[in-house]
Amino acid sequence: MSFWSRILSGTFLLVVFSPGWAQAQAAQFSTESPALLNETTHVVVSLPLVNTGGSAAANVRVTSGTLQGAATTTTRLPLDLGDIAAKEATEIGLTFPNVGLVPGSKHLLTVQGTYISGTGTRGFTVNRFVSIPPTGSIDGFTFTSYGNKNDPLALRARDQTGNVIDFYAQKDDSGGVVALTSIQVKNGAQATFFELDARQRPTRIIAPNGSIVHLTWATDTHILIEGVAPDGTLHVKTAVDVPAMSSATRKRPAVAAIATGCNPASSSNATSKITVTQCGPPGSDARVLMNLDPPLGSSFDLPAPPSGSPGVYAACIPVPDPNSGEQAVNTCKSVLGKTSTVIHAVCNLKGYFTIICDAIASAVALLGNPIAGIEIAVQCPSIVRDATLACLALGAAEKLGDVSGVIDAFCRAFMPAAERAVDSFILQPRASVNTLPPITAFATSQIAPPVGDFRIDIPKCIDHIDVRPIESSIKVGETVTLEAFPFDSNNNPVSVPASSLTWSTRDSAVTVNDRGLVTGVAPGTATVTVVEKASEKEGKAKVEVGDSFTGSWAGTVTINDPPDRVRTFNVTAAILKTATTIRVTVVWVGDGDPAETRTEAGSVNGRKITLNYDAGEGAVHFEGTLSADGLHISGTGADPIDPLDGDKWSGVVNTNGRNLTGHASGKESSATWTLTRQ
Amino acid sequence: MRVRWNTTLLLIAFCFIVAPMRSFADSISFTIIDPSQAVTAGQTVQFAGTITNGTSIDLTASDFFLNFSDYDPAALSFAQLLGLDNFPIPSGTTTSLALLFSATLAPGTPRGSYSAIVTLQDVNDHLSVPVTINLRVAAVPEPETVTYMILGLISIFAVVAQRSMNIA
Repeated sequence: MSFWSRILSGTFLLVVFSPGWAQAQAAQFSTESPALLNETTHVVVSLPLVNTGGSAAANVRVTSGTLQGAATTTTRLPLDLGDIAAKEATEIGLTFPNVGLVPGSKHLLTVQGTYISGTGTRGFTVNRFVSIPPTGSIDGFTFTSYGNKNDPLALRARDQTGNVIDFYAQKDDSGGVVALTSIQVKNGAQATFFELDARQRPTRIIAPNGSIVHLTWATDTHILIEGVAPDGTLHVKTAVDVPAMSSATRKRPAVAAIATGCNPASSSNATSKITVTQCGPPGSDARVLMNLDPPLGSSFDLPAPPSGSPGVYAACIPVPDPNSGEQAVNTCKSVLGKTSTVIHAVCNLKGYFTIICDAIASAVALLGNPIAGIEIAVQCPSIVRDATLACLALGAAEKLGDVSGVIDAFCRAFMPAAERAVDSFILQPRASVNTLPPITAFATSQIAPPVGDFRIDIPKCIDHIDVRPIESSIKVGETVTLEAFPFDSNNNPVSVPASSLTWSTRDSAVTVNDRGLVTGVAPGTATVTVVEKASEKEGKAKVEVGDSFTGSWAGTVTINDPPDRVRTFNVTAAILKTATTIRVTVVWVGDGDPAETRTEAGSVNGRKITLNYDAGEGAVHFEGTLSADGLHISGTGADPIDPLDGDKWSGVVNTNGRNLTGHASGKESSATWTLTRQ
Repeated sequence: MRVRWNTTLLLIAFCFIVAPMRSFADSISFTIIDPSQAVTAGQTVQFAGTITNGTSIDLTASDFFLNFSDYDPAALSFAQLLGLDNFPIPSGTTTSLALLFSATLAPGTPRGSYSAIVTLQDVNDHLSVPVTINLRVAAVPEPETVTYMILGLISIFAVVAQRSMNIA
């Protein structure tokens, strides 16, 4: 063996068997700075797990986690993270109870797991002392709500300037995938710009205020959210962990229908109970299967329907009232103010439940008995093809007004499958009977196999209405669309139909239509009020209408200088008016000449305006008037250089909400212009 | 020949010292006093050592995290002790001997040697050079064996004592 062969072979062996080299090559784990969200009862940790080793780790799994000794409450363990290449990181989300955790103090976070390496299954343990943030805060943002897929408001972030970013989630039944469906920014409009991935999941949202939100889908139910404020100084990084939909819930053959309404007596959204009943032989009383007291937005399983039954269940919301009892079979009666604690569910001749009455009665009763003394008695119709029409007729007969929409929903939901016109529908709030707040009906059903979801959604009454933008500034002739956002006393959004909102103003500066479109008609300040009819709650917004002659305009001016010369200039004009003065600044660029700026000051006396404008070849004296829709001035002038040559100027300038137009002509030339407001 | 060996030694030094350290920021480091310990199944042992803060930032013990990798998860589990009692570790200093972590060997772990790679990390994500620890599991005497052993010792003591008395 030659000298160099010995050296090289020795070097190879030393490198391969060097302990340090082996350490560096093996997969090793550490962490990066995590994001923590301290909620009322739990802490959500979003922790980057890094493979700092020199080789990849396959099938990485998180098997346990503790924070200050308390085990994670994340139910999805083990978390399968897949493969993590060398020097790569992946983010994991874990939830811990925050009992005993002191905001501002450090607590030890430990995450354990396994991975596959060349020597088989290996373990890792990473530790990190983490500082517990104040409740509901992270990186300058505060979070006031954190839900799951059944809670439409999945996450609310509020930055230091009061801007609110609401993330709304909604399940997608087609694949059990949870999708963030919308984002709202307080004092801004609904964000509509989404970038979607191949699975149509939003990955990037730009909010109206310029905030950019990036969404990374770690799994179908775990979303990493990173948001940046418009000025880049505020930054939010957190995760939304949405539990997977129960397969049992999805596959149970059932149809559920819930009638909901505003519940002013409730201090919580989770006080209503649901009783699930099952149909017996035709004409028999319904049998109570379950009495449930689910939290708002929860899902729960239904038992399979008895063999031979249509596979339909009914669910109603009883309202506790010890003074009343079960109502008559086949005819549902509920006297407002004497609400029943027993479900009004019976089996009709076709073995279906008739729950229409219950739904209406329960919904009305939940409204807090605003119209006590009026009896609602509805004979549930046979479930036939024209059931919808029958229900509508009943609704009309009972003076239920728009509650007919609810009846419509329930009738269609419980029509025989073969006769069912629709498989799935969601009724948006549309009911309004006298002082009744909106009623929301929600029902789904599918034919073959029948699938149903329970959903209970009893929003509290409207506590206040925000109008956005709360302040706006427009010019005469311009418009701005205001939006109303009702909230309950917990600051949760309450959905209401646009038809239940009334927009008005007492000020003459603007007009507003029934959709909140405000048009400036005269300079001044106006207050626009929106009233929700049922709750009579109102919100206000201030709109300032500026005059249309203060501002800046830009465009081109063409000067015809016969016989053969046409000159074009780019012109910017700025007009600033005060109570007694008016200042006009005009910048001319073009025709090969250097930029020329002229500023002239005039006087304002009431609605009269006078202004001398030196056009370079002679001062033009303008006089005019200010009107609500703009400036109208005209004037004349003579050439000061040679006043005897007869070259006199005359011109006119008009402004409106959009354009500044004008014309000037002299003995030898003329000019016209249309400048656009900047 | 001497020249050749010098060259070889330089290469060895390079491979042992320089090569493993290339991948790690060397601003923090730690030592473990007894990185190889004999334990019995079900036993928890503690590891002590020193921490060197070679960064330019004053830190505390809770700014350091110990991470463990490449071990048999069925046999070993670890718990960080460093930082539970917080104390300052100023820039450019090395601590006195401190408890770093504990390792627990699962009950029923068969005889053998169980290793793990330990890495120190600070709050600014500096990483130390990894250190390998070993836990050697010796055979645990069965109860009957212990009984026989104790009886044997008593017998020996008895014989020795009797002989001593006879001599006296």
